[in-house]
Amino acid sequence: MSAKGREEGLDAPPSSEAVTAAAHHRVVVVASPYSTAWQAAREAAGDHIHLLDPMRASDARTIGHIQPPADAQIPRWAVYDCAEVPGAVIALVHAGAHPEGLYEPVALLLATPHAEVGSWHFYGLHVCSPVESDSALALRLIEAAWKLLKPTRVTMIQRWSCPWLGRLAQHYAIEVLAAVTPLYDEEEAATLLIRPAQALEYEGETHRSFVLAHDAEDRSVVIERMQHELDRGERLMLAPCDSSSPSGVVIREITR
Amino acid sequence: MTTPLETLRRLEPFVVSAGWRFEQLDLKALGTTIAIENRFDVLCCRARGMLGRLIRLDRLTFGPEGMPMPERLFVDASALPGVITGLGLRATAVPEHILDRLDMRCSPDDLVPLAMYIAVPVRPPHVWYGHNLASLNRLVPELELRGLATATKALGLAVMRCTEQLGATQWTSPALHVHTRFGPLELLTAWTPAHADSATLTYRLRLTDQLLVDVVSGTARRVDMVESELTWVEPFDMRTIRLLEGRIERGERLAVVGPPDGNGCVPVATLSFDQEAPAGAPARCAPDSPPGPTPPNEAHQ
Repeated sequence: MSAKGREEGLDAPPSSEAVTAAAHHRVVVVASPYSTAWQAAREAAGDHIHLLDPMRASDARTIGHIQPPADAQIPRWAVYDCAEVPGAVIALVHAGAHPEGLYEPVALLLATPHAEVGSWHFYGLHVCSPVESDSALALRLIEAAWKLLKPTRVTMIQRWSCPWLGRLAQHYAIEVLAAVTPLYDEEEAATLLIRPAQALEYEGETHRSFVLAHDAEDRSVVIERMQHELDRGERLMLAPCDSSSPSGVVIREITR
Repeated sequence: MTTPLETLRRLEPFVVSAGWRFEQLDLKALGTTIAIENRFDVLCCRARGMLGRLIRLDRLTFGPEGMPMPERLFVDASALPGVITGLGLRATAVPEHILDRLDMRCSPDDLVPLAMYIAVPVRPPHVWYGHNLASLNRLVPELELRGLATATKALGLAVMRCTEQLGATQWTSPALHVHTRFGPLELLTAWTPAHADSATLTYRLRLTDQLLVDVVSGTARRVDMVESELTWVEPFDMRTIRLLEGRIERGERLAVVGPPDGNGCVPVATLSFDQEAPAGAPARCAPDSPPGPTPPNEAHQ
């Protein structure tokens, strides 16, 4: 785990500065006053966060520009019903002036709270910047969302071919809940449980189990084997990528 | 006349959610028990068939209106963070011609869902947002499942141990007939341009265990209102709807207090201030004013 991950413990008090993304980005949050994300955004408020209310008619025009792209297949009503009112849409936008006050997000995600207090589900993550790498933006967005919501755990469904999974595992403890996710079969997507890096300190010994290279011909076989192990009750964690890792992810089985 | 409770007792309840959540749900709500075989962990392969049938249920209900839910949102925005509950019949108990009509692929032992209610948390554990209430009642009139949508929503709210439910619907929606059975719908928005349809109202219901029992039993009392206290909102009167929104944003508390009349007009009245302050969420604030303290949730006994 990186030193950065170990220093950011669960007990460390957040600061409004910590919520700020890189200096050239600003965080925009769309959340209703009924969402806990709204309260969190107000507590972290300042010049760094712009909070928009989907229940205020005057905010609708600006909110209309902070939406998932059409190919994400998340209709407008679902963004309102499933994220903006109960949870949040969290976006990174350029920090400079915007024509007519309308943003063009470079990255955004939807967040819905789990039924368990302190847990959130992130989905619909989309990055779009002609300047920065998708991986850097995705990681920066997740970090900003994490520092805003201060969750104890987050779930995400991500393709195994996602290029930044290994890097994400440098900063968080990532457990595989499902190697094959229903309704995501065509994309070979995993359901992941993301916790603060310190969570790994309390797990058992690990050993190398699976290597899932992006261009491997036996990817499907490896994924099925992982799911088989999970069905047997085993637990799998993503290993942080390092310079010796192949282009892919390494998944370690936790032994007790 | 058949009550929702009688329909509830004729059918099998089910739940689809994250497996770790089952123990915090009320799986014996409203006098029914969700059998173990009817509890589906959304991350297990066993849930695939049921998810497929729920998707079909959604298409049959909302496809004609042009608002079906994309498949993956049954996981991302429904069963993984929240809960899907509903009522169905074992395939062997459904007449063959109805199965053909519904075009639901299933084996004889499968549960055929006839209605579902989907909600995600707002302020866990007791404040929820209901975003999907689907019923095939109009497609299977010969089964005589009166009050199916009401029973399904009541069951879902009871399973989730919900004391405060938020939701949204259109001023023209027939679902208002169902939602108003649970009490006055406090209007959080009347005109919602952030939604796909601006003529959408967002509402809040406050609930108790006894209220849910009364609703399914058909004994829940409607709010008695004096005619002069009502504003009848015509569903296509955008000017009135936008004026209502202005009043709400200035802090006035309004509510839909009954079902639409024969012309589709919706009765709206001012909420009386002898009602409890809402639990679990701050009051709506005027622009630039700080939020008030969040009161503790004391409504759930």
